[in-house]
Amino acid sequence: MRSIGDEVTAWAAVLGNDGDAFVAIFDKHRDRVFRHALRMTVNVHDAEDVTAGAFLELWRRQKSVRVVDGSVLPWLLVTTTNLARNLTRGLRRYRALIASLPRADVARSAEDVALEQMAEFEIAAKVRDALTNLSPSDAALITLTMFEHYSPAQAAVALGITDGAARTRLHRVRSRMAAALGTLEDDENINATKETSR
Amino acid sequence: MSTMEMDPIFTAALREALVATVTDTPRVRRRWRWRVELACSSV
Repeated sequence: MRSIGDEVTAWAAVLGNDGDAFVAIFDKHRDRVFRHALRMTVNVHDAEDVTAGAFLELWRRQKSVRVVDGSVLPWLLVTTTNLARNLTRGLRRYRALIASLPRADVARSAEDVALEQMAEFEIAAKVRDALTNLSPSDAALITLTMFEHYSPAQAAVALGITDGAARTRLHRVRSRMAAALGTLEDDENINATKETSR
Repeated sequence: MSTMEMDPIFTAALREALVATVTDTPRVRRRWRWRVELACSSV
């Protein structure tokens, strides 16, 4: 599935209970959904659970899914944000199904990830904390525009708000995110000072 | 296996679960509709 038309066709088929079409959409978007879930949870198993939950929600709530420029990805990313913010409540209805899915014998813990990518892990944790402190809709707005590079107009469609409202809220929320992540720059400056003083 | 990709075993199992969920839904809905109708007719 490559073009916008293909995804529109696949989504129409999904609404007619076509399992293969649903898997085509899953294969197209699962990596981006998983990477965003990992950014939000900073735990590989939780991110996999959230990814599964996002696609199960895509099916369950098919009638309320907002398609943006022929794609369901923005809706999936918003749903991923919401699920990751409240894992226990968000995934409750899918807990049994997700628990029944097998995983590789060698589980990768958050510590494994941390050892591999310590710097990214630390930044991701701060981003997650900052997103968690925003309202659900503001977190979704930041996710779509800052991290997934959708335009404010596209994000507005995904969230069911006006373009003007999205821009106004973005202006306010960006300031809050910058303040929340400001400690990152401080940390980097401290590290840089340490390096130069050696 | 990269940390930026899902576990392939989990992914394969999830694909199967999604197909089953989508294709089984009409049958499950029919079964529940039948149960509801049966319950209503016995009232």
